[in-house]
Amino acid sequence: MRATVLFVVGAFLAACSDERGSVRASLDVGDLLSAPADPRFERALAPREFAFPSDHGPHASFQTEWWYFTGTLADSAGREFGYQLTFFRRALAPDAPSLDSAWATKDIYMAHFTLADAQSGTFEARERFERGALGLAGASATPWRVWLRDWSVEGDLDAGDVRLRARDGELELDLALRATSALVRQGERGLSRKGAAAGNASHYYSLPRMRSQGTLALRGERHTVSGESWFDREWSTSALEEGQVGWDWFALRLDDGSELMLYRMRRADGSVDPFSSAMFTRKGAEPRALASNEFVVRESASWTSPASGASYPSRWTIEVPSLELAVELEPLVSDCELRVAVRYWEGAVRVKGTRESRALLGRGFVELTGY
Amino acid sequence: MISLLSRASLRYLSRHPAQLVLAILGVAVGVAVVVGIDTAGASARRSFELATRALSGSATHVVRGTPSVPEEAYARLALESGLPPAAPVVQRSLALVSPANRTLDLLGVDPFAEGPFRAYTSASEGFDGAALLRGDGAWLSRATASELGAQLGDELVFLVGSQRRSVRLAGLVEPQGELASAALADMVLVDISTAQSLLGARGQLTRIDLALPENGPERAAALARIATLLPKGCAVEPASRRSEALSGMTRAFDINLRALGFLALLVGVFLVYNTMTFAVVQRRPLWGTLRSIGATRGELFRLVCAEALAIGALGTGLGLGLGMLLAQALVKLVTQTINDLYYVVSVRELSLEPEVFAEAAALGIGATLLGAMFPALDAMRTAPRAILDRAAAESRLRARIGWLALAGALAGAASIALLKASGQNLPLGFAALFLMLFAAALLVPAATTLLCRVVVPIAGALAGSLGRIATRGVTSHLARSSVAIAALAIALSATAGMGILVDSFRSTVVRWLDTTLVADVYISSPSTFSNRESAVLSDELVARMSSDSRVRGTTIFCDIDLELADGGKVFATAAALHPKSRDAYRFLAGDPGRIWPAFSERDTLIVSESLARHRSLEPGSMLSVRTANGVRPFEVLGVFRDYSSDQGWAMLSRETWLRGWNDPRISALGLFLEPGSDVDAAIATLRSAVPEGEIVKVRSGEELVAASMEVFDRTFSVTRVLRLLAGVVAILGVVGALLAMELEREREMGVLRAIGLSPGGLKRVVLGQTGLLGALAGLFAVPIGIAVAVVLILVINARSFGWTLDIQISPRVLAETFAIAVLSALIAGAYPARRMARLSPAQTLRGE
Repeated sequence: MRATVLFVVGAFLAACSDERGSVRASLDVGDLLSAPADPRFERALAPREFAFPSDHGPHASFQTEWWYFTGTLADSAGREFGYQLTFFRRALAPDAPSLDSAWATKDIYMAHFTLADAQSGTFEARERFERGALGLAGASATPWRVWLRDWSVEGDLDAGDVRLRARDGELELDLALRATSALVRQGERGLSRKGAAAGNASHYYSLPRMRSQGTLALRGERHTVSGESWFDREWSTSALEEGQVGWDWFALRLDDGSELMLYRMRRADGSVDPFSSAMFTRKGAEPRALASNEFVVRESASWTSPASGASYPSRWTIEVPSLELAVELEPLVSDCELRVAVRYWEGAVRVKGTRESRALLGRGFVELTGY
Repeated sequence: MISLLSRASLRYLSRHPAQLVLAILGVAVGVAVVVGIDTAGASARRSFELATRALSGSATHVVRGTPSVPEEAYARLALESGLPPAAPVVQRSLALVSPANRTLDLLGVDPFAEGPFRAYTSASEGFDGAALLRGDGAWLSRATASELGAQLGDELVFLVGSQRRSVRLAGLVEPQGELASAALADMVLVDISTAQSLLGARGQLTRIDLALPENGPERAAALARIATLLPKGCAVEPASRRSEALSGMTRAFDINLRALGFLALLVGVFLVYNTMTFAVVQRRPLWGTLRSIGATRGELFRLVCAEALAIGALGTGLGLGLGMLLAQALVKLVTQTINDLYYVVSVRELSLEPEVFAEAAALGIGATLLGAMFPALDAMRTAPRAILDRAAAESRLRARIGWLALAGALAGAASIALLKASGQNLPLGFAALFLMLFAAALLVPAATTLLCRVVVPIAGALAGSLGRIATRGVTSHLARSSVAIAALAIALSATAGMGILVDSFRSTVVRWLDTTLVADVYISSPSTFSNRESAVLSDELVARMSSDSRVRGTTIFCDIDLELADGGKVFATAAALHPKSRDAYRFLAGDPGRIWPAFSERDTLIVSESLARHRSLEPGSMLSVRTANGVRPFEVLGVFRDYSSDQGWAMLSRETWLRGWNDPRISALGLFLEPGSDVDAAIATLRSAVPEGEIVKVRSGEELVAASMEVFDRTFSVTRVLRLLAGVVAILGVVGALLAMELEREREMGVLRAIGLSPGGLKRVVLGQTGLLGALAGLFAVPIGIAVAVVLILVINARSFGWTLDIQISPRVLAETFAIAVLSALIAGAYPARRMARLSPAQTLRGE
């Protein structure tokens, strides 16, 4: 679950991102998100049969959707990197204004691109907005391609082949991805509930393991890298419910061939929303959905951003008693705070723990919002 | 000694308050005119600079096209990896018709690309992604919205071509800082999709802004890559080029304004000289006494200079204040003219330039000191005994008349030589003009003496001895009277010269309009020069108008901008001319018999006189023009007479335009009716045939002439105001000078009274004397004024604007000049006449 986008709605409306940071409109995200969505948008009310390749492409009748790639990479010397390349589409209205101009559109695209270097502790984040018009940004199912100017992801998702490309000044990423796990339908057959109200849910599937190879450039250095990526795909017309203030999201790839996706919705009173959930997958086995009372997440350290002053948890233990799973998570780089239109923390983690008494290692990604 | 001297000085000045006040006022008004004009001009320039700078934001370069940039070009740049930031812009000046009438710049931008360019667009509340939703959302600065009386949600109705189109005020922008405030003063901000839709410009961009890296190999590489991505007809140019070209347009206008201000100060200097001369001359006995009791020459010199300094400082201080008031008024006239003729600018506040104040203070105090220098030297040089002898000064001057006249003749010759040698240089032209005025002033004493030889006997014959007394007074006090005459003559000739220029200009333009506007009916959209691009008539309108049964022929115009290969821009009209319209063109160069056949056949054009002069074009010259098919050479076939634009313009045939640009719009239409048709009736029918919702002006040729002359007169309102001010300075100074002169002659008048002249007779003598002074000045002002006019028309106008004008010397202007001279002199004489008539002879003679 990529709840970032719910906050990002605010960013869309404050979309004049100024690269020099001189001016930025501020909007009350809470007000914005608690506003009911335009009833003319379609909502995710029930599980649907995914139809591919068309579901890889855009869903114009829904308000929001995203294509979310994260991963951990390493060069031949074992130097580790984390990356994020995500594309969001947000419709401002069900229909485009009727204007005699190719620039007229209802869709805005946003993309985030980050690179982290574990060795130097470097983290770089870039953000872009563009309208879904004139070919400047968009998404198509066949051939599958999502792009925002020269940042793009494309390929054949059904075959599991993807090419990622992004460049912004000295920050560059060019990866070829190859899926090595099956597609996972998250939640209830791909319907992921975010709140008590009907429609506060999304259609959600993932490709948890994609072998990744390519190059990246960071701070003037170019590296040939390989590793694994996680792809999330979600669309909805969802709103944040009253009392929900943020969420923690975990996507872990363990070296015994299993994967765990887990999110918990945090409430204003500090409690965890019962609509939090998790999904455990293992090669050759049926994915297993976990309810919020089946897992425990404990924070064992925190990190305070010197730039924003926000304090984030920075070490976790996750226990799933029914799976005999206990893992410890530690960030590759402490400062993975994206200080873009909406501030959040998203970075790669190292995983260490045991399952059914066997020691295991792994890599993963964590997203923290609302801190 | 010093304190005695200062007290003597203070005592003198306090006993002659009127003279003191007039001297200070003379300096003040002169300074005020300079400050007023410079500040008004500088404010308009500054507003324009700020607005263009803020509009281009941090763009270093722009991509321009002919006539527009296809939006795909932007998409190609945006999608390319590793290029510097780019932002698409759709911009056009539009006439707002509701809630108020005003020309605004419609700026259509893409908020997502704006970040690096115009920070204020992102500062605009609500001007963000959500703006796209609205479709008709528009943003104004809070100040502009309140000026227009527009509330949030109000409709803003624009005239696009001949159609009404509206947007809604969706938000107010609170610009931070001078730059953004200036930028937003005349701007309405919309999303690029709204702009294209509103203007009917689907697919077109006005330009693409680029923020390239600093000069160097990176920039060169970026430029090279961009060039390969651009379609034919598009090119990259530095962002500053367009604004430089625009501000260059008003350069001549600026210089002219400043010269007029300088002229007013020059008149002021004459008057200060005049006043100071009197102040010194009047105190000759005092100087003699002071010298006799031991005051040194240096002390006297310093005393006079100190007095001048005090007068100069007071006058300058007052002048700076008055100048600001004047600037408030002038800036409206100046911006009106700029808006009519050049570009849209509105001045929110006066720009107070320290240089202007320093310059005005230097001029005011410096001129006063300069004016006092000669009298001070005079007071210093004269031996004590000679100082006491009042006649000595007169005899010295009389001895010098010949030399002064010779110097005047030399200065005149130098002026003419400078006029000839200075080529097209405008400031040197003005220098020659001022030299000529100086020469005229030097010739005044000689001319006065000569004229009085004629006048005295005539006056004697007409009015007996009283007539002779009155007239002889002028020559017998030549040292004083000649300065007053010269000052008045110079001031009046300057205003007369300007008057003749305006008259000549006006009559030339009227005649030109009469011969050029040959069609019976003209149909145009109600646009002005600054928003001419949006002047488009709908196809339906054109079809309906030209199909009226009375219409026998049409002339079609389309206003366009020609982009030259060198980056310059030339205003142009693409025209399909009716034979009668063709015949109306008067060529200054080129043979009509050869021009017209080639006009529509090849890539050719004809150019107006101003354009020919600005770009040194003649028949056979080639212009490299960017067409939609790339750069093409265009041959200049001829140069025609034209007074519609001082930038000049070119005309090419509609066929040529369609071939090179394939843009079929029509911006104006001339209709030729069946001979004998009732034009008014035809206009009424045509007006009723205008399609619903379309706004056009349907006018007869005469109405169009009247409308054109209205703009013309508005343009010259600044000149008229300045002429009036120069006149006021002159009159003020002369009143002061004559007042002093007559007061000084109280004792002489006392003698006349003592030997039996009645109070009435005395009044007549005084008034006769000042009246004669005025008449002489008026008389001199006529030839000098004509000379000034000739220089203004043949040199200054030609160098500034490049127009050939027929010189039209209207007797009215000359009569006016003469009347002002005599009247102001009589006003100046009225007070001393009354005062002297009232004084008893014993009182006035007591001093002897």
